[in-house]
Amino acid sequence: MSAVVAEHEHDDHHDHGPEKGFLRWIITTNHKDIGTLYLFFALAMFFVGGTMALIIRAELFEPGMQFVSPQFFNSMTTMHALVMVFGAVMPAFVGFANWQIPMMIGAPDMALPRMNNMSFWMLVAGILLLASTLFMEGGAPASGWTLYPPLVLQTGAALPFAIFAVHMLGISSIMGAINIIATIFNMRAPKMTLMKMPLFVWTWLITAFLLIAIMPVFAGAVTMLLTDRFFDTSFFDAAGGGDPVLYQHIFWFFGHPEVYVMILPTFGVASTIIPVFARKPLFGYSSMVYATAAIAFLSFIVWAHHMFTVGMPMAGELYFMYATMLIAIPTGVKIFNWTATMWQGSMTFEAPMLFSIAFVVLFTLGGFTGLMMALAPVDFQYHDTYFIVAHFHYTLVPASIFIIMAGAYFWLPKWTGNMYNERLARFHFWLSAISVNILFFPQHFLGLAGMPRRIPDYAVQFADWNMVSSVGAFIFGFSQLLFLYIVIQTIRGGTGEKVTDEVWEDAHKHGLEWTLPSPVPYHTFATPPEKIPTEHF
Amino acid sequence: MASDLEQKNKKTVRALLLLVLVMFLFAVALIPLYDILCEITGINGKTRQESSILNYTIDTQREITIEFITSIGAGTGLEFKADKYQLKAHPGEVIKMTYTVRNKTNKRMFAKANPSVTPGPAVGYVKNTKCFCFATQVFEVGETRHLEVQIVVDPALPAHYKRLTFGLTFYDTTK
Amino acid sequence: MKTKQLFAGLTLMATGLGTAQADYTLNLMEGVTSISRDVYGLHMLVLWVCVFIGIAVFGTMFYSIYYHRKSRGYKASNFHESTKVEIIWTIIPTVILILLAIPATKVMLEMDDLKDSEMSIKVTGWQWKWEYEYLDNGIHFFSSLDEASNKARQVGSGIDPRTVPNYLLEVDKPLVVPVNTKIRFLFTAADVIHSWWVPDLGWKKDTIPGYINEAWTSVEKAGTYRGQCTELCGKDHGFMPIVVIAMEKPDYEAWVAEQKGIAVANAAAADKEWSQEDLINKGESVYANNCASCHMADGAGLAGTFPAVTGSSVVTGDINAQVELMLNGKGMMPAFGQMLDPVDFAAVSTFIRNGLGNSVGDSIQPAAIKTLQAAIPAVEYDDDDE
Repeated sequence: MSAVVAEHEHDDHHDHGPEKGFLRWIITTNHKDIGTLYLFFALAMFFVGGTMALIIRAELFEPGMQFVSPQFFNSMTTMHALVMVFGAVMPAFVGFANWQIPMMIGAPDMALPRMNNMSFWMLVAGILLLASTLFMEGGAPASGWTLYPPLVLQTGAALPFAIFAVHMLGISSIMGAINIIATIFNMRAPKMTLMKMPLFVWTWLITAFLLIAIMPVFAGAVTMLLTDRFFDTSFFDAAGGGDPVLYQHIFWFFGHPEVYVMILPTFGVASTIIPVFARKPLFGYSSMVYATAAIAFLSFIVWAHHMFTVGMPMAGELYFMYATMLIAIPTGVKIFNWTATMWQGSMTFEAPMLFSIAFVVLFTLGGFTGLMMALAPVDFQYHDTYFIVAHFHYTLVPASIFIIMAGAYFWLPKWTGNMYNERLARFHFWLSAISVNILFFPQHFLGLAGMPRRIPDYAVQFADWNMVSSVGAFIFGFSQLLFLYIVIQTIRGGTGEKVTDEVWEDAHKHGLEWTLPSPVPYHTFATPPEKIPTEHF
Repeated sequence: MASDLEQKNKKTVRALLLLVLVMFLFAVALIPLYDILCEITGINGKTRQESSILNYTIDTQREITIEFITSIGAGTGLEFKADKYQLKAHPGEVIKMTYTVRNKTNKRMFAKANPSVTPGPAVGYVKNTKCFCFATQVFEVGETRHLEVQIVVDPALPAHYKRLTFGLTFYDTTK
Repeated sequence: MKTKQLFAGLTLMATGLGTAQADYTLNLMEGVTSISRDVYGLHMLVLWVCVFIGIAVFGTMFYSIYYHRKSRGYKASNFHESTKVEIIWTIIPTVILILLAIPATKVMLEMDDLKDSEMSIKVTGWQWKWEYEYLDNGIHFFSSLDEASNKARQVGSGIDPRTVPNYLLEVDKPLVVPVNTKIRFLFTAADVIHSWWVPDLGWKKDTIPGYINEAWTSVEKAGTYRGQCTELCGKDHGFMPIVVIAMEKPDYEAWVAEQKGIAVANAAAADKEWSQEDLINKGESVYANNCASCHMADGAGLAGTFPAVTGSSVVTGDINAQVELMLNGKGMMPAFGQMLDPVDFAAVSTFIRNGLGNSVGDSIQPAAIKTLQAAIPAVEYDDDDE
């Protein structure tokens, strides 16, 4: 980013360059600046959420309570999830969207630049408000990120603040989503028809619609929690004739699409990176688009598979089981397509490709366990155990987080004009890929052997695998400092080697952004490009 | 050209904001929708007071077991028991059960009981013709009361149901 | 630092795999009911299906990664579409899914078949204990974490959990059931949502305030089976285990008789005169099992959430006011009149006044507690709710 500044400090066209000084970052409406802000914020929150995870894993290193009280432990699991979901993963993808979508579709900026700025600062305010609950009387929310009543209503002074924070995060996401949809709908270069858009743009378009559909629902649910606690309503209060399970239905109507909000852009980035390093067009472009849409659609009709044990009528259990199993089909299509993209390619294995391949493999593992728990009768055993913890961490850490890192290595050279240190990046990859498995794979065993999730202490037969998992967690956690170092080093000049405009061999065939100079100028595509890469057709 | 784009953006934003509003209203509408769904499917076991007098022909060929379960919410200082744990009855017959409730605390207590019937799909066939559960009850210090419930099981109840559970949970609602 | 950790991790993995295998299982347990075995079978089926698909997909991918690389001089092809292939890899998974759905549906229907149960047990989840009610014979008790585990699990207790038998998986009073008997469970909760899980029975079920959920089991083998609460229910969610002891039918009958005897004996104990010393001794364990989870083992409470017992104005004040608060509850404090018999109640009331750093010196008799509950004349009203 300083490289971008440096580039433009030499530029005499002041009215086209960024503001000077710190104020630039506060008032900026430039999509690249805002993308940078989002990405740095996500990285910071990744370390905050990661520190919470390490507190959890430190307590679980050995049986017995060593460091924290059970209540604080529950606050940590809750805040870890909220910070990682709303502070790290989602903002990172919004950051990519800000940087890449205008460049990928040949637009000069996002459609609504001022709203773009607002949605970022709203996010920061929301997360700060959420973090402030840690210091309130009674502690931060400790009822899990799902905020189930009646338990969540036992939260201390933090409850209204946490709910208000959720509102702000929701508004921020909705503004971001509206902006992305408006950009994609209205600002594409003339020849960029919908079915010629890069898959990253497609997945974000669908994700943005998901966000707009679900965030208001979540806002509604938490608002009802608020009125239940403070205004004597009893939406979810059994004593007043309400129904705590109703909250779970509303929450998961939001919550299930929400997990796809984190995975669909992941698919998009992977579909962008793999063809470049396989030196082949993406296999089955249109089936990828349809599969993404199918997954998004299915995400709205499977929510109660998170609630198999609440005691639904048999017909409900069976319906949600069958519907959930269906998701395996479009997801499978995607994995097969990525494999077919690699097939008979001419592959090289730079860091972005390594992370992407690890994503395909490890996400598939997470998908397998997902299929297993789709079967309701078996889920009666898996539900709320470490098997579930292992499952969703496989679909988030070596999937979404790995792909965010792949994207960073992939696009940073383009953005800064500097090459990252490939040797260090590969070292970072191998450290991460090995430790993430030491961290999460044993959790499958723990869950199957009977260890419930969200417990601060456990029976001694779970001790060995917990210790292994904690060791993996610390290696994984500290490995990410290496990532931070590589990113900063790249921004500040990298290896010293200046990259070409297309950065990666023949990348210009894969997307408009690679036809721009490296580093990309502060303003790009003031006039829409004449030609677009059409290779996948 | 630029103002053209602005117009298009405004239109998109308006349409999307409308969608946001619709989804928010949808979340609010889920409450009544869920209630309707529950009434049809019996998901949460809630039964309602029947306003009309029910005239079923008693099916003397069939006998079902009705189980009367009592619970209290945390912090509700009541002793609450059905006088009999279960009884057998014919569908269509008026089934009466007396409950004994004692206020064990030394404060005047407002309390309300909520009914729940299981299995869920049978809820629609269990008609609650009289129940103290639809109104708040006041218990004086140490007071013991005998409260009555009357239910009728619709003879249309599918044959495979041999046992129904009628649960009541008392909650202290004293402010 | 990092290499050290890596080394430690690898050593652990090696030794862990070598030595401790007997202590834990890697896989789901088969359990002791027909349902749990069906579930296990289904689990193994879907696991093998996944392994098979995994080998096919990853095999192809790694073949490609090895052979189709630039460093081997492989030239990229340019194919990027094939409707035929797409249809094939849509249809094959669909068929596999249907083949999985059939047995899953069967097991599901079997689990739902509550007909012809021979006894019913009502399970109520409380923060943080289980209440069991044998609906057919009136046996009724609370079951919470045993004292040894509870002491060891306090932050900084200094007790090595490995020295505690069945650490965190032992209760003061287990649920006892007969073998080969179809037992119907009714689940509900008094405060927040909990979930009742014994892996050997093959399922878990949420206990939800205002709801009654049902499930059934028929244990085929006598033995002790352990489980835990699996729905986050507050700070002591990890400390409300479940222990089910399945007995041969005659043993179970004997246990039932014994329980009824205990109920009679308890009633008698409540009428006898207790020495202060006996009350304090008994009260210590009652406190550990019922109070320590909030007010802490040393009575210091938890700042901002749970008040301290040590030096509390309620405890050092009028004994009747203290007993009244304990009987009726207040805020998050449950009404213990529900949960403790007069002896335990009197014992713990006396203990907290003369232990945990308090030294008031007085005591209260079980008989007095009984009177306090019953002394107020019971007024009989007719049902005036016509």
